[in-house]
Amino acid sequence: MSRGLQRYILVRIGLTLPMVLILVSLVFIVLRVLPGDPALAILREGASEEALAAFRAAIGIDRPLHIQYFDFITGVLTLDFGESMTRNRPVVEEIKTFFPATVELAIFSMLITATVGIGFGAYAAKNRKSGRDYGIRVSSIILYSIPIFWLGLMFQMIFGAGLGWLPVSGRLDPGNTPAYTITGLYTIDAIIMRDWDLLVDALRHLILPSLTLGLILGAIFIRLTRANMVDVLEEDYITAGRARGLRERTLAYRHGLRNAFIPIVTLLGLQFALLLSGAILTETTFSWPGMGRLIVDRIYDRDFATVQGSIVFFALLVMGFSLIVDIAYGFIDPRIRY
Amino acid sequence: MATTTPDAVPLSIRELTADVGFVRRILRGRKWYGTEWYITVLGGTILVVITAATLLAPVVAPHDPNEFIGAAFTPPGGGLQTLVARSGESPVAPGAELSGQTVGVQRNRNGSNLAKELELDSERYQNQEALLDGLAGGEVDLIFLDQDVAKELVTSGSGFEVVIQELGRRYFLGTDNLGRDITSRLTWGARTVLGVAISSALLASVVGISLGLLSGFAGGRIDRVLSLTMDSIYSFPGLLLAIIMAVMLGPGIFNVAVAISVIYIPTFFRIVRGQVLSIKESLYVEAARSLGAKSRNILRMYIFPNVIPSVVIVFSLNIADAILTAAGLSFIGLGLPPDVPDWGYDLSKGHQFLVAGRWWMITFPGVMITLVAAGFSLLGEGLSEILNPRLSEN
Amino acid sequence: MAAPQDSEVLISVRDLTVTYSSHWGPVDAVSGVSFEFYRGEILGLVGESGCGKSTLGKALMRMLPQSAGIEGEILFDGEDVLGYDDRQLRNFRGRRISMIFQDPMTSLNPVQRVGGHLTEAIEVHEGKRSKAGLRERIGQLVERLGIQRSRLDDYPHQLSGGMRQRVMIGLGLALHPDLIIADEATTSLDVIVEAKLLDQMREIRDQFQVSILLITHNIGLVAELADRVAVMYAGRMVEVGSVYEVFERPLHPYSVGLLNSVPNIELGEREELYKMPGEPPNLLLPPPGCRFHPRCPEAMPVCSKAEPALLPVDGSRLVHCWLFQDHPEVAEA
Repeated sequence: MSRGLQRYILVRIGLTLPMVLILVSLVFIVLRVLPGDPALAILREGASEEALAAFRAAIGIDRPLHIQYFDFITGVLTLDFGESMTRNRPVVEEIKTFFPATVELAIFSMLITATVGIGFGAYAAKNRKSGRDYGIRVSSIILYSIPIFWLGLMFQMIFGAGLGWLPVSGRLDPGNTPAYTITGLYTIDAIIMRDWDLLVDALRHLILPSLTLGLILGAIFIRLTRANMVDVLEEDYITAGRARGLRERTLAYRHGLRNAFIPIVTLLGLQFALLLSGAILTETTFSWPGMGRLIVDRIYDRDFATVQGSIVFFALLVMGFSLIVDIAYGFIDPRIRY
Repeated sequence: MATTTPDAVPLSIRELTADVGFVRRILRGRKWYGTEWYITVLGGTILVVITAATLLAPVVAPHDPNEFIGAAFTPPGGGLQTLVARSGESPVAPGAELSGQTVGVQRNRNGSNLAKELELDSERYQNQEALLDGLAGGEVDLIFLDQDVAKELVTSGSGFEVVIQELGRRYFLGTDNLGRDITSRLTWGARTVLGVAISSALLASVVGISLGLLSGFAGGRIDRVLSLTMDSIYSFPGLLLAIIMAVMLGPGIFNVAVAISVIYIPTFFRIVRGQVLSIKESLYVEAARSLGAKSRNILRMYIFPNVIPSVVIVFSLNIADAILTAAGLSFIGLGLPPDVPDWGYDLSKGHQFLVAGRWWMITFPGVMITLVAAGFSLLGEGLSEILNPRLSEN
Repeated sequence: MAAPQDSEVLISVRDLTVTYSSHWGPVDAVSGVSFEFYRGEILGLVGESGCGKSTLGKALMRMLPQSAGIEGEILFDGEDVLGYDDRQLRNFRGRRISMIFQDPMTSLNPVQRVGGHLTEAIEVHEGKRSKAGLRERIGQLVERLGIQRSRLDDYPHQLSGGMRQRVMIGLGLALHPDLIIADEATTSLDVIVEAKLLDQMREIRDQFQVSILLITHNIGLVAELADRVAVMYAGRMVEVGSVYEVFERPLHPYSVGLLNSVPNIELGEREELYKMPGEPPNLLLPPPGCRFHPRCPEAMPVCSKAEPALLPVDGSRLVHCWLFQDHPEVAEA
């Protein structure tokens, strides 16, 4: 690793730390400082004074703000998010149970997103300003305008309730549970355990949710890929290649796409927040037991500790991910150096 | 020197600058901008039609969106009733007044509602078979049947005849699980969606633009803190942010608008700050400043004209996104009070009856959300090419 | 030195018109151009920016955007270039004509090794080759151009500007084409590198027996390198002749103005650099008659009414001006 790269990575880490602090503090401000009483928000109007007071004491919001803040930050730094208020186990354990489902959904969705996005985006860019290009552009706008959960509902209605081809909820058929989990990603666990029935079951359950999320994100990705490819295809080296008699297909896909790839992958990383937003809705639609479901369910269960812990976890996750993307970018592109 | 006679000016320019009305000039734009023009106009048309429909909702919508007007789960186009009697034994002539008659109806079907509405005595049956048996067995002389059912029965020559057709009302898009008219809910629901989305985008733009100006002009520590804060909000999943805000603020249209607006503040902030920074450096502002221009004038003369095209485009795209976020929030069950007609809420209700095959409850609200969101996206996309050719490539 | 009279015609262009469509209407970037290009010669194509010289160069390779319309005839070695289908066109490009671009910094694919560029170009036209043979061939080629073989494994950003331009030339020569089009190929280089490159181009012509079309606004470059020169103005070719004739005694008033506006170290103290009045016309609304007449110091009544033809004047020289042609009786409209 060159010294420039080392410095670049250190600078990125140095910049990420204050971002994490700010984001976590924002979470604190929204949950504790802003008008709006968590006790009232969670227990709803009509709760008795005693219940509210007990709730406040339980989550510790009856103490002075600076002490709350100090405890909160300490908790974040030690990755201790407290006890779940409904499940009698640490919030961290809850997250460990639910997070793998989100990861599995995210991975499969991203595969679909990348395939759809790069495929159609590059094709549109290659045939820029043609009818096919405008067709792809308008379709991607319309596809992105479809609410994720509604696309999920339509898939459920057609392929689940209607044709009966695919299951519409959960990660596995009822009654089918893996003997034990290793990674928590059922597809990978099934491969490790050579349990092919489990693999088929897990994959069948993955198809509709990841198609839902993957297609909608793919719509954004078509646009990003197209825009980057259009820029690259206007470069002189593409014209120069054409003057040497290279095929248009070679120019677009070999030379163009390869150069557009770095910015495209970076952009894919930047869509991580969007992926998580989409995952929350997809999980709700498909009863997919991931982080989104965890948060939404616990809001209804009035489990403030778990909700707060999960949100902080998301904050750390996006920051960590963007750091990884930045560092990876530094490795790939030698021109980026501090 | 070459003299340019008016005749030498190409036709397209003469047409664009000709002294014609606003509408005609817009129509002529299609030659100039080509496909982008069609995209913009398509988006604009969708929005104009839906906005007009929802503003005219009191006139256009057939019913009150919250009234339990029909029978639950009336399929699209259903609801009309036929009065059926045994052949040749009808106590009333076709077209005559029905008051005073006893009519057999099926429980929880539109016929039952109709009898109530016409203030007729009714005999209720559990299902269609019992109803028909009742008529055939002489328990009642008249029954209400769904029109399509009646049509089948009478053509098969089962000893029944149609007395009066097309009674009651037709539910164009059907009714929901509580018998509310879906057409009316969609028409009124557009107000909620547009209201929430537009006010959240307005809020976000006001806050974002002000903070962006502050950050860009002040620089230094304020700029650093604000930028980092905005970046961290931007990197956080928007829907999750909206969920927390909505939970904390409690239900209400305005609260939802505030909750959603937080997501979009950073976009406006970034555009304005970037623009301020680049313009602050640029020579023409330097020149203006050296001539003694006040900050306020620089803002008005140089910053706003440069920022406005981008803001208009981002505004349109953000509304589209806010529509989807708002729908997502109410789909999850957060945000809006239950008495507000709302597409996202209707979808979450429909979700419960999906397996039961009530496809119309989830199909139409989703189509509407897609249409409105696509309208704003298309408008923003087309405008971005027209207003700012540089921006559009990204 | 290739003299027009006894050389074989490589390209013959007849009435070539290139039309771009713009928002404002169609624009003829090149209109009604005819000329001959001889095998082995270096032809300099000069004119102001926007006169259509680059468009003409691209038209010869059919490298224009799809929206551009081409009319007329381009015969390359007797073959009709405008009639080529996609496959024939790909075969033609690179193998028969190649092009060297203005900016060597951006004309090489940043993620492809130098050697990769060369192998790809050869394999596209000649099919798969043995690795070793191919490597030897491109190694020899770049060495002749003064680049070490080891540089073949470098990425473009690891090379200097002059070296990249030599790689570009190597790419142009790899398939032994008949013609190289150098479109402002030296503009982005500094003077010393440029001088080296010029020497190299002359050597290339002699060694590889290749013709060169030198598109430039640098008159000095043409004077030094070219055999013949063609002057373009507003989409028209206004004067074509040998460098000696044209530079010694330009005939078309535009050529006269162009040559007088070039700074010359021998310029006497009292002589001033000539400043041509006016600006090139807007090609959307070209002036009637001769396109140069609004700026022409010798304009006559006929010039604004009818357009002259490109006709021979003393032997091999072609001039597009009424000064050297019989005036037709222009009917008053």
